[in-house]
Amino acid sequence: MESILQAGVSGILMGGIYSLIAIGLSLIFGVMRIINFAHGEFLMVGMYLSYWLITLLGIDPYVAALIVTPVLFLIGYAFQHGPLNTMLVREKTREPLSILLYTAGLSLVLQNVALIWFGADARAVSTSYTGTTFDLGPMIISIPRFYAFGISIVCTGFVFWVLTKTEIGRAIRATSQDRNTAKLMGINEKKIYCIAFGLGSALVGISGALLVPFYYIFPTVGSVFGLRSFIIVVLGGVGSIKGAFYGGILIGLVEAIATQFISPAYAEIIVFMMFVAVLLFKPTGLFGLEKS
Amino acid sequence: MNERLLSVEGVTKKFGGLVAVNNASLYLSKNEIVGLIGSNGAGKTTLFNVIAGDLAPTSGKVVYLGSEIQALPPHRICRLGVARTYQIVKPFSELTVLENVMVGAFLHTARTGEVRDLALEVLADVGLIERRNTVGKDLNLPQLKRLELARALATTPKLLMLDEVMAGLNPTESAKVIELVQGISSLRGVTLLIIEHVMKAIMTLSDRVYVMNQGLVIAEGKPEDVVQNPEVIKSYLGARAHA
Amino acid sequence: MDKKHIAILLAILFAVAMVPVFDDDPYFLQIFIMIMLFAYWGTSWNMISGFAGQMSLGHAAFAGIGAYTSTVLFINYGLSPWLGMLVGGVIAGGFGLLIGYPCFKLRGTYFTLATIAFLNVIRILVLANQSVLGFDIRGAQGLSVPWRGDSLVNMQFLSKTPYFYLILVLLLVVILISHLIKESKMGYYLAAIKTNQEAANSLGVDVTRYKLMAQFISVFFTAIGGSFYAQFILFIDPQRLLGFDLSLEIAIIALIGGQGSVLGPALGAFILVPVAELTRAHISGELAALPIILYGLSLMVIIYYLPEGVHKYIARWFRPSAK
Repeated sequence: MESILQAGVSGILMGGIYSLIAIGLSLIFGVMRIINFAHGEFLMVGMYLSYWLITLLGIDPYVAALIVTPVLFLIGYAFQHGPLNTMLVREKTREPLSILLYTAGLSLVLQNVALIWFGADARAVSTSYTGTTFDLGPMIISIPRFYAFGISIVCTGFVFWVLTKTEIGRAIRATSQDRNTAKLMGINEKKIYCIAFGLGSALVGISGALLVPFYYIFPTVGSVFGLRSFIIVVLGGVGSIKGAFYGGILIGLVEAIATQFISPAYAEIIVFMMFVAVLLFKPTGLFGLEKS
Repeated sequence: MNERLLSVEGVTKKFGGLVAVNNASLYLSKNEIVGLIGSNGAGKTTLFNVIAGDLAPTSGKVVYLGSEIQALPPHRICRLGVARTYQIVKPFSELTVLENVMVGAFLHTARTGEVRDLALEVLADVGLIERRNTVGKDLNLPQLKRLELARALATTPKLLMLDEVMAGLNPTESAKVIELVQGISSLRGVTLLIIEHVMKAIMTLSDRVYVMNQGLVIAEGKPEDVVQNPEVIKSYLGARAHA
Repeated sequence: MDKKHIAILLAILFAVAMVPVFDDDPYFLQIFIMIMLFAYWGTSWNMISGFAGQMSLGHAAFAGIGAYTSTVLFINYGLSPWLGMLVGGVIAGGFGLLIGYPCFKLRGTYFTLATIAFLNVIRILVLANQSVLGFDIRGAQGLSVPWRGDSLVNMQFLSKTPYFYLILVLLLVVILISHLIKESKMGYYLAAIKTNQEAANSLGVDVTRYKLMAQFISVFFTAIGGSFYAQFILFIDPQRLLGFDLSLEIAIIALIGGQGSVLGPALGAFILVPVAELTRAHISGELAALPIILYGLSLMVIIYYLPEGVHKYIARWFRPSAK
């Protein structure tokens, strides 16, 4: 019984990060219908960047997160502003499959550049938080995981607030619902795309920084998280921030419990099966199609 | 020549709470040209979609040449001889005009050479032969409408359903299409069911007309009679009046 | 295709066929074999992804299924890989239909994600299991193809030359089939389906049937390629053969060359693979990942500047009058 609880809590904590990554992707996909295949690689970039800041400058990992976030925002913004907006305009009549492929190429490039630059060996960073825990009843909770979860929740809340209470947020929602009407209302859709992509990338960047205190860093770390985030976005319902949030927690939970009772390999298979099942039977997602 | 080609019997189509088509019935005899008119949102295109198999009716039957077809998928219905065009044209934009029509012509034969000849024939009838190597996305609207028509014709249908084939065309272009449609009916012996807002076309072409309003079939008869029917006039004035 | 076009292609074919006669340096032949294998895989992939517009990024799964099937049959029953690869092709085809049938109704990018999910499931199953259905597959360690002597029946040769001609013939076969499909009713129907499925339906095209046909053919040949690969390398590494990277490379090659055209993928292979192989040879150690970076960059550049692929460009040289 205890092991279920422990696994469950562990899963939920991890799920918080999954959620944040997925929310980032959901913003991008919801607004522009773009599949950013390199989303996971942006996470990897965030992780390595944070790693550098910690090891070279001795900064606290959570302060590093504050630095990594705007950097990733700018990277995302730049990509959208440049190549992606151009391709999006071209692709008006069809599904932006070209952007999926373009970002797939980008992910290959980023992964392998990281491989050359940093080597394949996994790195771990020793921070003052690494390995620390506290007890909650019968369970042992890892402090960095707990902080990661907490900060993820705060960030999620922040995203919610931005989307519902600010002008920019309203513009983003308007554009994702109906880009033509939004344009008529004077919203500069290209700029909104850049902001959305920037925001999505910033979220994934912060997730990376939050992972660093307790997760290994290696060039292909992005692919697992990246694929997970696609699954979560679909599971939660495309374009639904709430869905991405709940989906992330759910996946974290399922994964942890399945790993505990079956094996990590089959846990992954279960996640994939859930994904395909949702695609086929409830394509609007488990949590329904609704914009936040 | 009075056999019923198509018989729509009490077809209702609901989308959740919205009743798009309400217990509609109509019939077509062989070689007739029948018009289907009504204000926007009357349910005309939905009825087309039910007949063509794109939608399944909530209740009711569609009987074609004696058999019920309402449960069949669109491609099977097309094989039986029912072709349709779309209000918003759906060309194969990456293919040439000739290739577009060949797709239709492949319905009954698999030999590419034969199919090409058949397609060229149809293109000649429809007046698009000079544009046969133009890619779909480079055509203008009147050409696209003709392409839509040609493609459907290439399937050698017995029943051809046209959905606002004249929408967006100027009077000269419309007149040409009217001629074309008359030719299709008389020369090819195709029965036609036409949705149209251009009243002139309906009056000129139709042997009979059905009028729909808010999902119901409210009138039926010869065009000149229907146009004077007070119910019909009310339904149009209630929304918009057409000349 | 006019006579001039055909003549040029035949000349190229002849030149390629003569390569082992003039230079049988094994390393040199190896590069050619890899080029042709990827051209073969790209052309097979193209039948469903390019012609029918259902872009699969999970095709490596089928190559793997083919490789494992023929190898397991070879090891346990001594079945000649010539037959084994046909069995592998049919089994893979079955899987292809199994995932195609429910998934083809998924729109573009969703279908692609589903194929990736399928690939991952197959890979994880193989990595996590030492045996499947009672047959030893060695899981993550990879499966060695036993050397049973230089013989045609065993599809194993000491020299690279027979492999060269074998893959050349296979490549010609898929190109021919690709061409026949394109010029036939099936080709026209697939093009219609790719562009506008609803309209195709209304013209009597049984969309599902044609997609499944294309899928089966594509997957069947992809699997045979996997069997060839196993017999050539004499080792199946599931991380490579069932990897997403391989799937993506096959897609990249076809896309660079020009999906939707018969010769596009082969062209893409002839452009990219030599560069990758040569880079791989002369750069080692840390920079070993350079070839893949090349693939990635090529994809980005082509998608951005020449989304139709290089083939369209070159076709214009031959037929300046065509649009």
